[in-house]
Amino acid sequence: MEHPSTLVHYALLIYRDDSRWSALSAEERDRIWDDAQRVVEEAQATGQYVAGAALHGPSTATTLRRNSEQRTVMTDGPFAETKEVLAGFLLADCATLDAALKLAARVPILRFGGSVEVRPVGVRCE
Amino acid sequence: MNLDELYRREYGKILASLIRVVGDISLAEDSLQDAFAAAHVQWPTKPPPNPVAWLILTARHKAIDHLRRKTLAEQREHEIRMVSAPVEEAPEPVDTLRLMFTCCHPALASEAQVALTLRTVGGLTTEEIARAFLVPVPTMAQRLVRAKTKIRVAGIAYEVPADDELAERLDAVLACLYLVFNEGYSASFGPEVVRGDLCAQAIRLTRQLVELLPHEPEPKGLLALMLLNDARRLTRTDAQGDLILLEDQDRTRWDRDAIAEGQLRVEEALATARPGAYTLQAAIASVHAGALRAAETDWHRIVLLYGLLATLQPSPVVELNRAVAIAMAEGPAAGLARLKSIDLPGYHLLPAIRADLLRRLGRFNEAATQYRQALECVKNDAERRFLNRRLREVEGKEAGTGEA
Repeated sequence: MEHPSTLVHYALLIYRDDSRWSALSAEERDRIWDDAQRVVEEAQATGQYVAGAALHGPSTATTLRRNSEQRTVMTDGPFAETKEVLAGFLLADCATLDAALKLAARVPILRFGGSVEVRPVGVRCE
Repeated sequence: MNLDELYRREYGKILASLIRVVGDISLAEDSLQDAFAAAHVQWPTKPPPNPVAWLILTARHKAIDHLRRKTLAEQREHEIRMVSAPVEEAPEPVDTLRLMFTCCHPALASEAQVALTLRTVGGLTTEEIARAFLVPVPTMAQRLVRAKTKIRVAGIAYEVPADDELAERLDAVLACLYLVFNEGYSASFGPEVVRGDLCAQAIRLTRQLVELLPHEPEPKGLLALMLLNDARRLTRTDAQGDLILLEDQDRTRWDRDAIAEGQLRVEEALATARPGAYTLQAAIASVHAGALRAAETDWHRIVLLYGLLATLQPSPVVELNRAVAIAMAEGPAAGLARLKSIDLPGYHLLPAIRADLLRRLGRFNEAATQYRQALECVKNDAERRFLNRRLREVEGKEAGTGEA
């Protein structure tokens, strides 16, 4: 629906294809980071930017879970190994989904087999 | 006008206005249903002077009743919106357009787009849509709820897209309407199942879209395409449900009024600088519809139109149709030569067409092989019976030539 007065927070979850990423040269990666920085700066200029971060690779992750005895167990690595890994996120204030999608379409990793998942952010979501 | 007729004609339009005012599809639907229910009770004794205005006003009162049952926060947001919106005597046409673009937003899966468009703009019940698409009612109900929730929660705007996005978004609306039409059109083959009159619904909605966007050529092209195909829908099968080819159809039974309207729309749509894919397909259908006897078909014009379509929308299926047209215009050998470069694995029409051209060239042995290949991929019963009939025919001739 229209959001004339209220803005919706959107999370832009940025995924990269790890095999494609590791095949890139250092210069190519530098350019992606520069482009990403530019997207952030423009989102700041329009007032859409709320927060954002890049994430280190899944090999640096630590995952917690409870086992059947309700004891917390720690795993080295992500919850599940996947080809596409979460590489970062942006939190943005946009008037409509279309505005959020327009911002998402500018994320540079899309040019290198990555994807951006756009989700509305809420409190106690169903 | 009786209430059922009013419902069919006005439900989608009033709903579209109401959604803008109350800001939520489900709330608008519930309120309008309540208003129609109230009309059912009150109108027989006390008919209002302006039924549509009565429904709009009553639905708004019902919406306020619904809001009183909600939490304070939700109530306030919606009430502020409603109080600030003036009450109309009649629905705003642009609201129908807003609703169409919202239902056909590309962020929704195409099956969700189709269901939601039929439910809201078309005013079909969930049960009717479920029956038409051969899915259980709870599945369809869940599909609708999920789509409406996504529109609300994800903030899909209730607006007509800006000029720079209109073309792309319009494509999605047209694709959705064409999907509805094709579902109805292909359902009239195969086992006889009541699937609602999806073709008529699609035509009705597309006609509305043409009125709402009078300067866009492609809605006219799509409307023409639907009308021209629908005009001969009933002559495509015989009493046993067997397939009748275009060349063998009883052309006196084609719906001449639908054809006349379709041809008029094609001419309008073709008058633009760059005709779109629907317009070109409609122009092809128009050539067929214009031939009073199959032998009078202007195949050279059809070859030309398929050539334009192939540049605009290159695909092996378009190439296949072009090859058929070439075979008709220049002879089966020319058509057969065109087929060589087409690759459509698993699609029964490629071997079926190759078989037909070989049959016409008297190469019955090779034709039989191709018919058998086509029979391996065919899914539709009527088409299977047709291919079997043809296979037996060429097998007979094959034996005949062998003996002679």
